[in-house]
Amino acid sequence: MPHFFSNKRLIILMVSIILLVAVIGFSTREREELTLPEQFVRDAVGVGQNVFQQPANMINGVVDTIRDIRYVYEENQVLKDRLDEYAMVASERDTLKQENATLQEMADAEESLGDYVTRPALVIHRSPDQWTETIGINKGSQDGIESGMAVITPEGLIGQIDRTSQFSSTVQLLSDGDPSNRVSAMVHTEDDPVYAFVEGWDEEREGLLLRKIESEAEVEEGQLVSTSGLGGVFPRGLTVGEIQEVGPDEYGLTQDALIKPVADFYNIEHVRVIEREAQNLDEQLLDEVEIDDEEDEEEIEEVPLEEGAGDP
Amino acid sequence: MRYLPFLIVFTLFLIEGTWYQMVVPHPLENGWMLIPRFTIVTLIICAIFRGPVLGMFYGLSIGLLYDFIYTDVLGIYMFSAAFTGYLFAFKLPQVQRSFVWILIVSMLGFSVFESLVYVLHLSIGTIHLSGEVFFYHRLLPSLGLNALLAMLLIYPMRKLMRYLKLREQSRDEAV
Repeated sequence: MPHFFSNKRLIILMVSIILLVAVIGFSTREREELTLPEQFVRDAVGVGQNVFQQPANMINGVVDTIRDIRYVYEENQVLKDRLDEYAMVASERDTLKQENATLQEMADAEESLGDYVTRPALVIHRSPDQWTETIGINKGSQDGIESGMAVITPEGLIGQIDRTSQFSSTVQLLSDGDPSNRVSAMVHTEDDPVYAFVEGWDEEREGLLLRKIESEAEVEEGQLVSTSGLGGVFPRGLTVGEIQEVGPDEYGLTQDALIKPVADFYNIEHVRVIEREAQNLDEQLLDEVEIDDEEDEEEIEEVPLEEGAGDP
Repeated sequence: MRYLPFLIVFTLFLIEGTWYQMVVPHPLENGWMLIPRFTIVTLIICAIFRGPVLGMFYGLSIGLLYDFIYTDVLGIYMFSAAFTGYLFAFKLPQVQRSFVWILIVSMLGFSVFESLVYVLHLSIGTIHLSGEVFFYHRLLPSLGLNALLAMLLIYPMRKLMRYLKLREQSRDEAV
């Protein structure tokens, strides 16, 4: 590095370090939207990534198909057995659906937190070093994607939309360690559901952390965890995973649990972005109702927190 | 033709984020993370032949892409890549002639880049990974992977660089 240690160069180095700090400072503050150049670069590179990803997906699909062919016979046997079961479940579901509809009509419930529309999208990139657990998808704000929407694979929830640009957006996976990355969730127990938050990934035990569970709640291994729909734009009832371990948190006031996610975070190709309908049914009504709604939601959300904190 | 090296670097950048992610599972079963830094390795090889200024500009633009596309925080990759591109541009005939030297320099550059990114991420608090885990589970395995790639790329890249230089010289003479 003979060319490096001269005065002029040291000054340039200093200036660039100062610039670095300034740029980091600018970008780490809470930003609502990406700046225009950022959006442009993301979209432009997104086109290239799309071109790369499409044939790769096709080849991957062919390889998978060939692999699957070997198991077709066994699978067929199992599926035949389950077909009878399916008919029964389907008829049961229809009755339940009807019943639910009538009950909802009776209760005058116009909208449910469980209603949503989905938009399919293709994964176009993933950060190579995975310091941040984000993936890029090929749908953006032009397709109606907004920041905060839930993203699922057929198995279950994988994350939420982090940033959108015009034709692409990034998804923050549930496994991302960012402290702002939390999802309001509920545990299906035999009685009422227990509400808590999914907060990040436990590196050592390899699972999602479910925190702020009320200390009296009877949460056990094997129970299902899904989104509660209370914390903003997520709909209710998207499966997150299964409880693996339960224990008191570091202060002993609430309980923590380890969730084994149902979705695979590593081989993601196709995802669905979910938009809850409950919020945008009536645009005009919304203005009046919004304030009340928000207050309600916050109250519900904070209940487990406060009760937990109040415990001796 | 002059921009061919940059096109190669850019293509490798795209591959890192797309094809590579589909082929190699993350992390491996023993907890290793194989981080592809094909762009950085190639960038340093280019810089060895074409000097620090080019290294810096390649670093700036590739780092900018990393920043814009993969992270919300701007500046980390841009600074690290430009810094490494500039610092490891050993434009010396001894280095250019020897396969081993190019390999060593590019691997040094890779390690410095990766560590710099790690330290910067750590200092602004986006990650919480101990230095030991970083070193044994990320840096060393990735070093192996990138060394492998560098071995594959050094010969063709050197050929390309020499060809470009020859072209330039002959054009200068013609003028």
